[in-house]
Amino acid sequence: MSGNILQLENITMQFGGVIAVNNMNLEVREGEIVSLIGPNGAGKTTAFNVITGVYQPTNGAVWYRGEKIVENYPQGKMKKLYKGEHAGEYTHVLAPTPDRITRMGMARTFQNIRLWKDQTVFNNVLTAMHCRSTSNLFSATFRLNRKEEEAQRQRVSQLLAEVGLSNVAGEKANSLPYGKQRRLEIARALATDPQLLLLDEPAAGMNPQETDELTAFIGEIRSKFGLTVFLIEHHMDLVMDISDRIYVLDFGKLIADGTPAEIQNNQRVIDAYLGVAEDA
Amino acid sequence: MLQEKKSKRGTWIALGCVAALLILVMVLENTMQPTSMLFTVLKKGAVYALVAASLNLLNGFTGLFSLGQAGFMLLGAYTYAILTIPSADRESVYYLYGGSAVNFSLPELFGGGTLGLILGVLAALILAGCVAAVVAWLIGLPVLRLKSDYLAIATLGFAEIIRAIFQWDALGPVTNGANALKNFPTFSSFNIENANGEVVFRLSTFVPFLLAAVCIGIMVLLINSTYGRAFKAIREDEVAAEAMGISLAKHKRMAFCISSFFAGVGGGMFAMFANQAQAKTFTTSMTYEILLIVVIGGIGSISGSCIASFLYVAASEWWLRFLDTETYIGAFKVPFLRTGFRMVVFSIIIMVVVLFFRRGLMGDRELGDVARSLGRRLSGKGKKKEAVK
Repeated sequence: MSGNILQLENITMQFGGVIAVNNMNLEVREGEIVSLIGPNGAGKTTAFNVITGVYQPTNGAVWYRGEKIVENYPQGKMKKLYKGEHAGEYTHVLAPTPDRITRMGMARTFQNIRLWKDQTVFNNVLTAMHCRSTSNLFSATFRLNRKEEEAQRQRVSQLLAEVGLSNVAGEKANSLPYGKQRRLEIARALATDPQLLLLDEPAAGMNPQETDELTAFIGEIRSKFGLTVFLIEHHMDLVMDISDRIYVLDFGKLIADGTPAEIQNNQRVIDAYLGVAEDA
Repeated sequence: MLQEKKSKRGTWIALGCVAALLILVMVLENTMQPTSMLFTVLKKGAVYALVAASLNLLNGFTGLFSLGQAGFMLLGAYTYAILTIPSADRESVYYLYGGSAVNFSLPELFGGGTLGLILGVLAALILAGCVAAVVAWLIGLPVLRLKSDYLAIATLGFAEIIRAIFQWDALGPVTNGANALKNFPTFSSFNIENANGEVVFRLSTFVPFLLAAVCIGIMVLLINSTYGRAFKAIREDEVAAEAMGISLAKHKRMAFCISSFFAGVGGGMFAMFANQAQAKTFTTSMTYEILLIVVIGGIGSISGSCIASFLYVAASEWWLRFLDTETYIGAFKVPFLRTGFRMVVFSIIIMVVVLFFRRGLMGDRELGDVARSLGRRLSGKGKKKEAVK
């Protein structure tokens, strides 16, 4: 199967008069690793937040596995303010909360690590399994769900072993070194049983060696868990190494997409990153 | 696997401790003077421990800063009282309103006698909790969208409004207006009497302990379940919790309703303790007392709340009483001692406690954790000594 797992259709995100993401069309096919790159402030994280339900787009739709999950059109004051394209094409509002999107099978990590800091590594992963737990309040309180609980704990141990965090399972999350916290955040996202993993700058603040390890790690978990990965990143080594395809965003607009080799030789991308000479 | 065995052993030890405590209470009650202040403190302490634990579930474990606990206690107290006043006494209790609008009594519905009393009181307490939980669900719809201080203010306002509504004259046939509801079964009703009406076996302190222990036990089970983990996740990082598939609205509402349920049960028990239910007792200062207990015990520690509640009640009602009476040693009048001085000393003690135990007596640890780390330290020292030898 190589259908689209995720598709953004004419997504525009406008804050007041500022267009953060402008008419974005993008697709991620099943099993791919796709990167979204761009200079600072290009709107990458905003696009992520639209996909994961943190923001509601101003206009446009998001499709997940052939199903429309997010849709919006300019309303109220925005109707007059709206400066984007495709106005009037969308007439419905679909705005699931982030937790519902996660339960649909999309899990994310954060640019600035957001672990449950005071809890153990083990509990961080275990807590993330809550959204797949089938026990109700009563059965959970009175321990009638022992089998499920047992299975969850087993899975956590297994997951921690797979990401190489078994030896620190009992430690508090914020006592881990930075690289391991990143890893834990990914492990926690995996615990929600996703098909699509969204990584927001997973290598931010990492040294070259840690970045290399992470590159290998992402490739590894993709094949192990049959994942599709969509990531934002600034480290070009990592992006060029693992991406099947790359999208480039500049000032809210997609300016290029293609394989790493194509992107490296794309003049517009080079201009966006390095600037255009005055006399050119 | 090893971890689990340990925790299982811990559970048994905890259960054993609670059972021992209950037996101790029972023995004390039947050997000591029943008029001793100790029993008043124990009864009120048990009730406050339950309410403090319920507030801690909300404030300490879910991170929702609510100040509506007295309001939910009031709902519970009135529900309990209205449902259990014997039919024969209703005329006299509601004399201002020419009788009660509710004309049945749960203990009588269950056939009267001892069994009727037990079932009736239990049912009334559970219903008291349910009423509080349903009201919590309703006010949670608008209020739970608020965060931190704003939520606290909104719930505080709710508690005040509830108090005013229950004193409203038009509701007199149900709530008895501003007057107290009384004559319902209290803790002393559980004392076993012989044919002559003499008490042969006292249970009036044991009963609140048992009820509080069961309720707090349920809360502890909840906190350690998968839902409890979700609550803690919300407390620590809402954004992360939501991104991990935990529905904020659903879980906040759940925590709010459960906390209110137990506050309602606690309110019913408070009515039993006080032998009456009157709206004017459930003031904001009662919420503050409970909040103080939670803070002193440690936000996020149920055993801390329990310990602090007994210490607080004992200090405010019993140990410092002597400060309120003028005392002479020979002809010398001890300075400062007069009515009201107790509260001055009490406030200073609380300030000192808060200064030196900034995270409360227990922090966010439970008694079990403390015992475990103490045990580890002791055994560690033992090993060191052996090594020296």
